[in-house]
Amino acid sequence: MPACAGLTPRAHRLLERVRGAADSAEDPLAFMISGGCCGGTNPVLCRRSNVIEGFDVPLGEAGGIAVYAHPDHARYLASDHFVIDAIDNARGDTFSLEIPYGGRFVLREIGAA
Amino acid sequence: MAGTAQPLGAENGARRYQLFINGKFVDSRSGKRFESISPHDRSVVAVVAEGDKADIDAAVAAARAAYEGTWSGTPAGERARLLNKIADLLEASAPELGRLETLDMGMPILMTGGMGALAAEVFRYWAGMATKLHGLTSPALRPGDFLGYTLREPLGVVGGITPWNAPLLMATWKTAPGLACGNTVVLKPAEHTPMTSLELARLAAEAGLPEGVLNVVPGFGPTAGAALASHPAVDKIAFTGEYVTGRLIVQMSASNLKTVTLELGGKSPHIIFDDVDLETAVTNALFGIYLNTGQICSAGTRILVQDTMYERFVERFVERSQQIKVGDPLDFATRMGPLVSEEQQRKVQRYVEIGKKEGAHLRCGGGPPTDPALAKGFYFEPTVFTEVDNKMQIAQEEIFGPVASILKFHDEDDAVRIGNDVIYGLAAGVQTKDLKRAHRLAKRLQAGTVWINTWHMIEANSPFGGYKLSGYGRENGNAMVEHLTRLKQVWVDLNDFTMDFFGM
Repeated sequence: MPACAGLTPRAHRLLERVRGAADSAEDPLAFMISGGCCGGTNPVLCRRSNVIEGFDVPLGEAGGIAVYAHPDHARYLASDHFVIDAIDNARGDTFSLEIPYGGRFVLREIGAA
Repeated sequence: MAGTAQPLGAENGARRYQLFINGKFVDSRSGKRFESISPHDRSVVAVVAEGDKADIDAAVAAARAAYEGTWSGTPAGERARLLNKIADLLEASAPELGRLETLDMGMPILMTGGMGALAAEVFRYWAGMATKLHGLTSPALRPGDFLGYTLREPLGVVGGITPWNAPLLMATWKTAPGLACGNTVVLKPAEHTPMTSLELARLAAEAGLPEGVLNVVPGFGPTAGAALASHPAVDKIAFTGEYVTGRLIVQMSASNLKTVTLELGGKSPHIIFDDVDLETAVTNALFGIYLNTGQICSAGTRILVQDTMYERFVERFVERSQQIKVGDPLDFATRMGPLVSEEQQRKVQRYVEIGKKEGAHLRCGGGPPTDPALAKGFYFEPTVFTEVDNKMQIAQEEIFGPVASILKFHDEDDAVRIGNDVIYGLAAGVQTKDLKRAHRLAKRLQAGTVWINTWHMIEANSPFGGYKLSGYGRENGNAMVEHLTRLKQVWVDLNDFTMDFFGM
């Protein structure tokens, strides 16, 4: 079972807003699970061209979008089970693409580790 | 709308701020604004112009023009005088800056009241540095009479992208060094906490800093931040934040090969040996983890206690954690304010759930306080997990909240092994009375800063940065000059004859 089990309905609605404005067939969207200072350990919505193929570790998909993490980080995330949720009217200090669209993606735990 | 060098005043209780570009406060090109809310009660404390790519382009153009036109030729003594003047104004404004910082970010007023003085200290340190940027003379290695010397030159336009956890201090780190070294600066402050960065711009204008030398453009990361990081006329970016955004900035920097320094957080081990007095050990550990509600990159989040004192330490640490006064950050009695945002509160709560699932023992806290007066804010109780294994997520990932993970170690080698077994390497600390052991550990710990019998000592003269996924480059001190200047080698032939290579 992949670590990421999908999107919540709220996250789906936020993603649709981003897709309506910023989707690209040439360079589709991707989620990278981040870590570290301030906004860390939350998903950052970026593009597939930002993912380093063969290095970043796939952790499943959410709303048709592939989810990745740095391999050292993925070691800990792989045993976790989470969905990508969203907070409305929130912002974050990352470069995550949804931030100008009035919400912020966050991780939410499901089930047992 | 053409602006002035004064920010707009308060309106309906919320302050209004514009962008600061080319010496003037102006609205964003798009006319968009965003609200900054109080983490104490979610009230709107500021309505701020929202800059994006068009505003970043204007700010970079102003910074480039100021660099070419005036600042790169401004004598070092004059740069120093201006930075000292800004320092004086920061100090004089300390009470108001502290109040704004508390409203915007939630840091207790007891701490923010001192931020103006700390910010002034940073500016004064760099005012001094401005007059001490030397090149070197170089001996020729081959026969003949040659004069070799280096010129230390500024880079041009430098960009700074700051986090929300200490907004004014971070703004000084990302501006004063660049200005001292002769660069012009574009600052993109964290969107959660833009107020004091714009107040810094106001004070810089008041001090007489020429227009365009410092520009402050609040906005969102994927719009304003990305425009700055990918801008071909920006020569350097300094970023503090999380790993993926740091990596995106590195990718964006590739276009014009701008240099980048990154400070991306940590999971710092605080190693406590049994020769330390219990009260001292606990007091230092509390300070290391809980200051600023745990929202400090270099917080001592993994507390490693020698097995021989583990039980005693845990009992007293939990007791003291429960006594911490959590409350309205504007109250001088408050020692711990709210987390900065709902996102942050949700993230910390998620880690508490993970810690419980992983089998760590939750000894106190674990959620928002029950006090109804704090119900609207993003508060979180001081939280302690014991019996933590270093392989657990709560021991490996930066939580950025008031959550202490207490681990057990047996001896020095064990402490080093656990301490270094983490993807970050920003800071580490050792408490022991054994001088030799302390210095052995300082060498063996993989961290950019090692504290011995103290925590949170970060000064304008001490290089700060990390190993591993904590990023690269160092801020503060002489080390930062290397990131903000480039060297040019000059060779002069002093011989009276001219070597005729093709005449032979």
